[in-house]
Amino acid sequence: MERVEGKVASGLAGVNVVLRFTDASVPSVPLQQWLSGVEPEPVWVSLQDGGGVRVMPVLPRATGYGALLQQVQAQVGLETAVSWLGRLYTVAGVEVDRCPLRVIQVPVESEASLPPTVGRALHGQCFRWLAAADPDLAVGLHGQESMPLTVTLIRAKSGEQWLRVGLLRSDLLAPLLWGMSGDLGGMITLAGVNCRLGRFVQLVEARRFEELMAVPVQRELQLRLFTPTSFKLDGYVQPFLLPELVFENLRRRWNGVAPAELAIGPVVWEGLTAAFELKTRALRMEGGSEIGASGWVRYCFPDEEQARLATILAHFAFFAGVGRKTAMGMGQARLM
Amino acid sequence: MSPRVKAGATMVWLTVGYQPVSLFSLKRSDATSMAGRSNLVPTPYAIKMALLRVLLEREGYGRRDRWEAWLRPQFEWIRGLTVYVLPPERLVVNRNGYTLRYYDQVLDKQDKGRKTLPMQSGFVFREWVFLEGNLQICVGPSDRAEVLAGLFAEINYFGKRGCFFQFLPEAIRYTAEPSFVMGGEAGFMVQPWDDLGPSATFGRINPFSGEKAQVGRDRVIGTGLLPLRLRSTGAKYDVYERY
Repeated sequence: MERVEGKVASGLAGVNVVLRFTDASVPSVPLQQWLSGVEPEPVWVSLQDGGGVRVMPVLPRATGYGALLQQVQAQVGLETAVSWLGRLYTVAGVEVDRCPLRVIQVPVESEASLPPTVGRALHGQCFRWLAAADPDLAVGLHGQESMPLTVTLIRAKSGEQWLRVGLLRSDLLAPLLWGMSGDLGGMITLAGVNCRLGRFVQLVEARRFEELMAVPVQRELQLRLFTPTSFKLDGYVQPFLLPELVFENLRRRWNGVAPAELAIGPVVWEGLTAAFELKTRALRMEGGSEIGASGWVRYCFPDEEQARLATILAHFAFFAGVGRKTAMGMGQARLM
Repeated sequence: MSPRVKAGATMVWLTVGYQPVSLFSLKRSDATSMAGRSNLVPTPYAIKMALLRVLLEREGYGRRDRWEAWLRPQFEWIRGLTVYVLPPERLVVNRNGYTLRYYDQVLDKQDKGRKTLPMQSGFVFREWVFLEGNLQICVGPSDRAEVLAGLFAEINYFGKRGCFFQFLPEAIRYTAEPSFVMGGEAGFMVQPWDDLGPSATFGRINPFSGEKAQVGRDRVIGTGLLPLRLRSTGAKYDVYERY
């Protein structure tokens, strides 16, 4: 297909370059020099999502991606190979990323076991990365009532650990990766423990709000809560996952980040708790312990329209988390 | 036909559709060895050659008395077309390696006195593309869109011989503007996009003539941006989906 220069729409979260290995002896340039002339100069971050070699030219602010995309299009036609991490590639394609909802993770190797209070340290580390790229953005996020970002540490039985970040806005990926890029493959300190970050960023999942609005309706929804989850109710903490608390919390968060035309109006939730296997756990924070429930819970929605809305919100929970302090590790959830 | 655009009256664009009915393979024009990667979809060069083939098969014999006078404008008319291709919804590329016996042109050139064709056996590598969904081709602008539609209706393969496509009569559309063009806003995969050069002649691209085609003059290789996304990949396969 011939190239047609067009207006680049806003809402870009990023631009990924798909690389294809080549052993042809052709002239090559380092990937870092491939987009010469772009200001500010992007940093290149390797992405892993199981679909080939993807590298993202990262800018401190997402607003710069329109110009960068045009530069990428101009460069694609040139018969040049690029070298990246000691191998030679050709540029096989370009992906324009417009997903505001996203979960990314980075492997973390710690020199000692990380303390239970690491949630706050992870939160602080993410804000330092954001502030390194865009201080105003970091300050603005701190002041928000509903945080468009979730952070947690995922621990596998094998001992592997990942720093997992959920993002609810398309303009957050670029500054986060820009700040993080300097530490990838290097050492950081979390809660006083030295940790080495992996060299690659894993893209766990990315969706658009419109996609979630179109998911097939489920009358029964089973949520798994990976970390303690609770709600603030009349000044008290409620650790039981009542359906109206869960879905009203998700509805408010959805309306806080979704486009106005996709907002979900007030709902008098009439869902039933069909089954559960929950256990209260305390998550130690620096200010004291926070109680919450983890395990699984199954809801049933007899009303068709409520089932539709609840299904959308249950999918949204993977990105947004549920309940309180999701930016410090609580309320990490997934629809089973 | 679109009610607002009458083919034949003005310069219009023609869109045709094909259902792929076998695997597709077309070695990339930049391949220099037997180990060839395949294009994902037919290129303008392959499409124009297919048009030329059916034109010659249909009318060539009857025009043999005034061959040159008839062929030249026909070739120039097809050469000047702009071609856009919309891939099907999903493509799976299979990478296969196998041994076969094939013509040894080096040995043949060394010994012109041979009475038999020299053959050699060796390992070859081919990519075969499974196309799921219909392929659309938009060509133009042309004041002979209906003639073009007739030629397209007779094409039954693109690329390597045996890569069959079924023409879909109900998919014909005539439009004032191309029915699809590719921008870079949604993302794309890159494919070499070879086409006939503006000064190409039939003699040069004819494999039975003594004239030689030159890359850059008779066959120009541009960059095609296909609206595809690589969904997954491995050593033996690639899966693409259309945006």
